[in-house]
Amino acid sequence: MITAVQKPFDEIYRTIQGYKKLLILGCGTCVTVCMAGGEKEVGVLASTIRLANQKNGVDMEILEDTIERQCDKEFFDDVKDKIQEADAVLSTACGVGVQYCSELFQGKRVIPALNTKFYGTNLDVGVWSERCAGCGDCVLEKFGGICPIARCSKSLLNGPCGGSQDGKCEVDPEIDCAWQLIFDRMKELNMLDRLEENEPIKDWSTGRDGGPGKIVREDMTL
Amino acid sequence: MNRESIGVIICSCSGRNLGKQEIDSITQRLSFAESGIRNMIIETALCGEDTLKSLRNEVEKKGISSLIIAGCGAARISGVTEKIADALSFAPSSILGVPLFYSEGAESEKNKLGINEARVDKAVRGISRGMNVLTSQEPLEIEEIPVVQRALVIGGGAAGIYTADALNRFGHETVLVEKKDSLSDYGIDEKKLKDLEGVIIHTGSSLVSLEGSKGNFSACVKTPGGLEEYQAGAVVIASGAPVPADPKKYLQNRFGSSSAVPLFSLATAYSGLPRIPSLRRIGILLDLDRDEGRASTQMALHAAQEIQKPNAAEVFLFLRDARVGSLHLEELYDAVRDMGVTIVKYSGEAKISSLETGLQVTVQDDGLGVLTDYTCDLLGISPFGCAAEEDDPLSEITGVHLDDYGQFQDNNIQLMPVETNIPGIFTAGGGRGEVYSPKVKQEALAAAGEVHFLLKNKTLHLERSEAQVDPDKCILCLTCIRCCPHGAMHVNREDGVAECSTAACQRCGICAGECPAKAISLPVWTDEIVLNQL
Amino acid sequence: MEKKIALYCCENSAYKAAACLTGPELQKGIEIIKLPCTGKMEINLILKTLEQGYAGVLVAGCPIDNCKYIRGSSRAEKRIEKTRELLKAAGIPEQRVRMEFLSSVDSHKLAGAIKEMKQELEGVMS
Repeated sequence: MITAVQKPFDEIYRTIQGYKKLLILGCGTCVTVCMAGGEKEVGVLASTIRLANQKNGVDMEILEDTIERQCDKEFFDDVKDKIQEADAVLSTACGVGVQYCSELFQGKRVIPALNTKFYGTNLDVGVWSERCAGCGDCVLEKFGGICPIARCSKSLLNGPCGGSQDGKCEVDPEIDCAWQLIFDRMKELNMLDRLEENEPIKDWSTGRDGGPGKIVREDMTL
Repeated sequence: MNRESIGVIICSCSGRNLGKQEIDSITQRLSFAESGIRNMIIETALCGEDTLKSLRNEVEKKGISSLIIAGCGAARISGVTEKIADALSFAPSSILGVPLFYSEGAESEKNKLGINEARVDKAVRGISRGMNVLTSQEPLEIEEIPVVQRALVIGGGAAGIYTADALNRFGHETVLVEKKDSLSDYGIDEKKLKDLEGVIIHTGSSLVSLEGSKGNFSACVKTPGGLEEYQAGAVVIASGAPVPADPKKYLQNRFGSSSAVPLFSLATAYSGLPRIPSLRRIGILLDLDRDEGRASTQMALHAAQEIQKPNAAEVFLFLRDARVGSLHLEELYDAVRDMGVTIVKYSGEAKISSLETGLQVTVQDDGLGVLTDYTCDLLGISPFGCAAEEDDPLSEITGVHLDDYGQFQDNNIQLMPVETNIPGIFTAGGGRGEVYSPKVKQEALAAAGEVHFLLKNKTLHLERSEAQVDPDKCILCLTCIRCCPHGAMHVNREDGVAECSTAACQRCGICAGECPAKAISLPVWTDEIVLNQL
Repeated sequence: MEKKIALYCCENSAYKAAACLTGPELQKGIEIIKLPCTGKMEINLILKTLEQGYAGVLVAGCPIDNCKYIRGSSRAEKRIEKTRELLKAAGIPEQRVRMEFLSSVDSHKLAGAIKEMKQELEGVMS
């Protein structure tokens, strides 16, 4: 799932100044699961902003609402009146939702409250870890199910590098060396010989490096 | 609940805490206030025996279905509220206790009308708030869940055997599961084993899965003959102390020396040493990885006694705390000291390093306050002080938490002696860290008592006040399932939402506080109800 | 309204301790709210209470290792800590929110915490 974290409060507070009516709009899917922008966080943000405004003598009306998702237009129907009447929208959705809200409501100022981070797994309550880089040409089959692009700090396809120490990465001792993980896994799977095959240069244009992506399923379009 | 069906009881504590004028003032203010209380009952001694009878009449006559009971703090603590709820067959959430906080010396604060304004204020506010709470609550159903009349005991050591035996005598069908090929006979008198007739015993067997909740567990037991399924109303975990499987090998590996031996074989090891002219120094070490109890102190003192025969050896006993809380242990401790055994009380961790011959024990001596080295030719280490090599799989299977020492039961006084974080699952004996024989038997009986208490009611009457999950808001993030300390939340696969078990839920509200989607609420503790108290 | 402290008590320990609070200076300016467990406390509730005009919020519950519901107190501790961080970042005195751990017989401890909080609030509130 997509993970995100809330921006520092003072950054958010600075960017909402000058608006008389602010709608804080939450998203009920990915950012609720990663506890950054759901109904609960919207409430906390709204209360904190109100308290700060009270202290600073700032006159601002705060509206709150949360919709199922901000990446599908139908969900905005329930809140379109609120969005119209607000001077600005503080969206606690991921970067996709913030932009889409902006697209659907031309001319309306939409401000992000979160920093979108990565595609990751929820290891345990409150802990998320990156797993996928969205490269567009999945090579997991060749590496025993461990992605060298997302999990290796240098995205090496013929690793490891010389900096691997005790199974940890030289960039940060908290990071597992992906190639150690790959080696261990391939050994378990009796596929070590596959690692001797040289992986050719990757065509990076299948992912972000090829420009903004678009998927059209002709068999599904109306 | 509507106002008409709510009754308010004010108890004056025989006129000592509230005088007539004060009660009149309260009554007047409440009748005119927004709360508009219709049914006011004035009592002088709610805790009295006769009160219940008259109360029952009043309640029936006026069609009262919920109560606010305003009385002294003692009433709450002594359980008067619960007694009344029981006697009137009211569901727990229909009775609200409002303790009137009395301060001493209030006589002097009465005004010229003989009224203590502060007290009257407090009473009126407390009762009004209580009305707010009750009127915003929905009446809840009572669900009747039959309790499976069978008990499951895991572990065939002393604790398990005593528990199974007691349950058998109580007349409950009992299943005992033991992973070794036979039941233990350590710490048990012979007769007990014969008395286990009627108990279904599976040796060479282990529990592989446990589903369900208090009153209705489904267990799957792997036996030599295949898988056996059992329904049980309660489970007792008596699986023994989490110690290394082979203490001798464990100690030799850990310290790289054959001079480190398990305490129970220290005397044998000592007698096996080649005879030399000078005095040997023999060490005995307790509390290596965890604090030990009386059984270990007993074992250590006996070993010290045996080895320190006059001039036979110099014995040093290292421990963080001497648990001698029983007469014979205190006497034994004194006798051992009189013999000349040196008892070194240390703090923090003991460091043990291997030497060419023997071992060096380095401890922070409590008395001297310095780090001291002791060279020992032989060191007996208590296995009960050694951390378990791995977590007991029963923890994963049952959901019962292990404490830092790998023992069942979180070392939480609210759970002692035999409860665990899962309602309906109890624990006794070495599994929760108690290996002192007299206590083990005591705990086993306590566990059997708890199970009996649970099973004797053939039905559980549970108010449907458990956590409610809003299926529209639940995104199955699994947070509540992971956070619930009692294992009450599970996934409803059909509907793709989290669901709460009425029997397991303790109505604590932790899940409601955690849910990132605000999908969970406790019917009796909604945000509205909580904030209404302000 | 008169500046008050909202005292959120878990019913298993703190509420019983609060019931024994004697002395007018401890009973005045305090609103006592009952919770099934401090684990039910949410950051939202704390902030809403402050928005309603309360000077401070004191959350009182069982000691961390002796919570009736095992981990309620420790969950609450984390939330109160997060709330204080948030308030600080927003320029609001963090002393307005605090948590105390006590058992049902520790009325003196609760009394001490209330007195301390009242003093701190006088110092930071205008």
